[in-house]
Amino acid sequence: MAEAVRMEDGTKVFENVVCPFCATLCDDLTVHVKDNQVTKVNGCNLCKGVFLNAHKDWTRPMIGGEETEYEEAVEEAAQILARAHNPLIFGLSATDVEAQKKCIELADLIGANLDNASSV
Amino acid sequence: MVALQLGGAPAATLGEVRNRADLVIFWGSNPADNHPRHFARYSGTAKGRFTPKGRKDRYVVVADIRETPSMKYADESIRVAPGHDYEIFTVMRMLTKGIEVEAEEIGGVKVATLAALVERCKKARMGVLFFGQGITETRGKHQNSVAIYQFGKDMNRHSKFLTMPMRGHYNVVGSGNTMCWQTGYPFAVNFGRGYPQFNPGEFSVVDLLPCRLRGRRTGWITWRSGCRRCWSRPGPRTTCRWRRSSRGSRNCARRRRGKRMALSIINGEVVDPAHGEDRVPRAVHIREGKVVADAGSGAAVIDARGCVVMAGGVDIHTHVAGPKVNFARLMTPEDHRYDHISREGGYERSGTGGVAATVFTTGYRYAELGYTTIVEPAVPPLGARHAHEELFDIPMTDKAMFVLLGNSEIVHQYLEKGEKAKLTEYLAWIVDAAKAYSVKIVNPGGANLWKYRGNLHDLDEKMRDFAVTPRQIITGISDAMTELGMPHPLHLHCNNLGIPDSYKTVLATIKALEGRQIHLTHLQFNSYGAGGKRKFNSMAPALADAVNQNLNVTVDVGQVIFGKTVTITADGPFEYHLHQITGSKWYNGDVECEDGCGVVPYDYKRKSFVNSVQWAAGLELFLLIDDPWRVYLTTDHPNAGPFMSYPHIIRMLMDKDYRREQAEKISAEARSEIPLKVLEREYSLYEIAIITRAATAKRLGLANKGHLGAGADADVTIYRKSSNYEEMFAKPAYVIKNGEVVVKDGKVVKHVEGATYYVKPERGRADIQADLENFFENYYTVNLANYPVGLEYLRDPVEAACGASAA
Repeated sequence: MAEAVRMEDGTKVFENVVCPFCATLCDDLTVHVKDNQVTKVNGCNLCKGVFLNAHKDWTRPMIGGEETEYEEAVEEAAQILARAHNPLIFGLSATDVEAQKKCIELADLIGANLDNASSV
Repeated sequence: MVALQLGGAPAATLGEVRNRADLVIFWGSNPADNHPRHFARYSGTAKGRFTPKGRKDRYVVVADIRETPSMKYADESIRVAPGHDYEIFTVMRMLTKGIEVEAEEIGGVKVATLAALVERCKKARMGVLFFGQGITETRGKHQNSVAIYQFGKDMNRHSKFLTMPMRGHYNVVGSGNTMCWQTGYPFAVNFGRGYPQFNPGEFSVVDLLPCRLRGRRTGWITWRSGCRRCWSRPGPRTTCRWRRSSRGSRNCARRRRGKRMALSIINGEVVDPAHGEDRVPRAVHIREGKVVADAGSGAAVIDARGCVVMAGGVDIHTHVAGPKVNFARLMTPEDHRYDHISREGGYERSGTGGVAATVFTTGYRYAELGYTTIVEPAVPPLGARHAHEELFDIPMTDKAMFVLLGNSEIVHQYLEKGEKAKLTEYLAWIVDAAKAYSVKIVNPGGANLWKYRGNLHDLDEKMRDFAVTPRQIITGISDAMTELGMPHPLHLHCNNLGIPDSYKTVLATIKALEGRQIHLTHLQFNSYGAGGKRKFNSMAPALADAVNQNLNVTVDVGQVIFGKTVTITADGPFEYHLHQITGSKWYNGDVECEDGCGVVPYDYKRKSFVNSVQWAAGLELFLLIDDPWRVYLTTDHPNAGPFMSYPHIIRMLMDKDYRREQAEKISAEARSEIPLKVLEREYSLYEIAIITRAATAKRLGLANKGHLGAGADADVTIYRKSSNYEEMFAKPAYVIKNGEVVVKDGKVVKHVEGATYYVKPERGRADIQADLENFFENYYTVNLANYPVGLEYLRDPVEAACGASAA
């Protein structure tokens, strides 16, 4: 997969990036990143919408919107699942195969329903 | 998805559209807004190998209920009334079949317009119909898609025609695929009973969520309101079973080595043909995952009294992973319904079974038969990443895969120009790029012609677009592989598979090879003549003679097993033929620049004359080829039957009375033609060990597999002796993988992961970089830089010796 191939004036330039948005799956994008923000991408309008607005940081663990520690967030998530009688894991379509595999493993472990965007 | 499950579809990768399509129809989809670069990259202005003028080489039709921006790009626009697509395609099917339509207008469209469109489709070199949400999310739903797929299938009688959905945003295709190889179903799965169940009217988000929650863009939702029909098993089961899993990281070398336990297997009778040992009463010692001379003090002991000790089985040819196997899983939901493995049964992961089983089921069941190494033999290089994702998930066994190159247009190009060094260099590059172990050829040249609905029938028949013959493809690739020192020689699925007189092609191929090393795979499927009253008979005896005389040839059989199965092959034209004669579901998936692919469910019937001849032909090959080191046990899983039938086949080979009994049940007409010797010979245990592990490992060049000498991998199977060989081989007393006991009494007791073998041929024979860049730029849809598969996709990768390092 694409690696940062060069630096230009403090901007990281990634080449051959795959666009994750529509099913056209263009894999010829050049993405400019400065201070962890995408500043430029040479895709179509939909692609620009995805890359240039992908700034919200979802990497911090939160419970009900409040930031917390990973251990606590995982414990809370586990508690929610433990209390559920008939859990549904839905989605899987906005993530990669490795994460999908983990979702399926989780559904298998807790006896959940599992569904993706094919249904809607 | 449901439509695909119901009937399959004629499809291809988008590169085929780019390279060949001269008629493109968008129905209920608006790429100008929703897939903005589709037109430029694949379906409109894109220039390809046979569409050099891009847009001028294509006729584009857009059909929608309203004026859409896409219509600006079209040669013809059709406005349809909302909600009438099912009717329209039903009428188009009638028109395709020449049935008169009385109405003048259907769904807001003049029948004359539809008739003109149908005529255009019939005349197309390659037509494509892309359909979008206007079809899938309107009244009629999946029935609309079914009608379109059926229209596409009908149209294939006249022209090459593909019908493909414009899939939705983000990785919806990937999630369907991943769910399919792990659960057997692409969506709407429920694990409440400890195994995957599928019911789209019950387990989908639409059915499970109250309307007001639908449409929330959350990645995943847990629904907590109580459900009267509680699918979950009672009691708290989440947190108590929640444990930190060591499987968090993708690759953990420690896991592969296991516990490094020392183990001695005593009192057993060792059958190790690689060392000439036939039921030798000796101990087998294991330490650090290897067979050793002495396990040292403190080793655990397995008392194998009354048992036979062999190396773990090695399957040289079994379709277990990759895009087309996953399509087979997708298309056989009815088959998964009645066969599953459950977490409650003690398995770490649940799964569904049937002939196209899920990844976990496949691994567990192979282990339970005493097999510890399996080879997926047919992956187009473009599908390698997907195949490795699946192989990664198959537990219990070591794995390897072969790439398909017989219909690769780069190969044809080099052969045409006689550039041998470049061909060899390309092979080295592509084997490394796909992280493959060896190379397979399927219907050389023929599957390429299928992209225009053609085929090849003679070794010296030239291809349509390249001045190249199957003879040149076979010898050219074989020579390149020899030059590279590949551990397994060319693996060949001959031309003309499955048709009368196919045996002549095999004889001609053996002659054409002029002594080159070759493995002819599932030879049974190529062993038919056109003799007898029915113009179909077994010529297996003639092929057995040829194999006996040509020491460069090895074969695996592909024994037919009566019952339902699913056929999966890169031989696209053959699968269409099978679809035509059976009327069964059909999936076609041509792969750009590389190969074909077809999937058709099939039922081998005991009372069918043809199926009985096929069944007998397999046994004839087993029993008339004298040297067991050159004939291997396979069912070409699942093409001739599932691998779970191996114990049954072993019993037929070892027990002539049982074989006679089985032969009594087949079509009497076919039975009368079986040669007498086939009824008399019996395989010994020693010979069974050869055809199931010793010889396959040797032919694969896996030096540490298939034997029990010092230094071998500690993959050992212990069978309890019985005069019922089927029972004996169906339920090993112990299976040891990498020095650990993983199966007891035919049941998995420990989940382990296997390694993935690949080779890295030496490079540097010629400079092909410019050719590759040119080829990818002009004909592929994937960027060259994104094409090679990295080692991170392989579970515990092991580089096997190749070339000078192998010597």
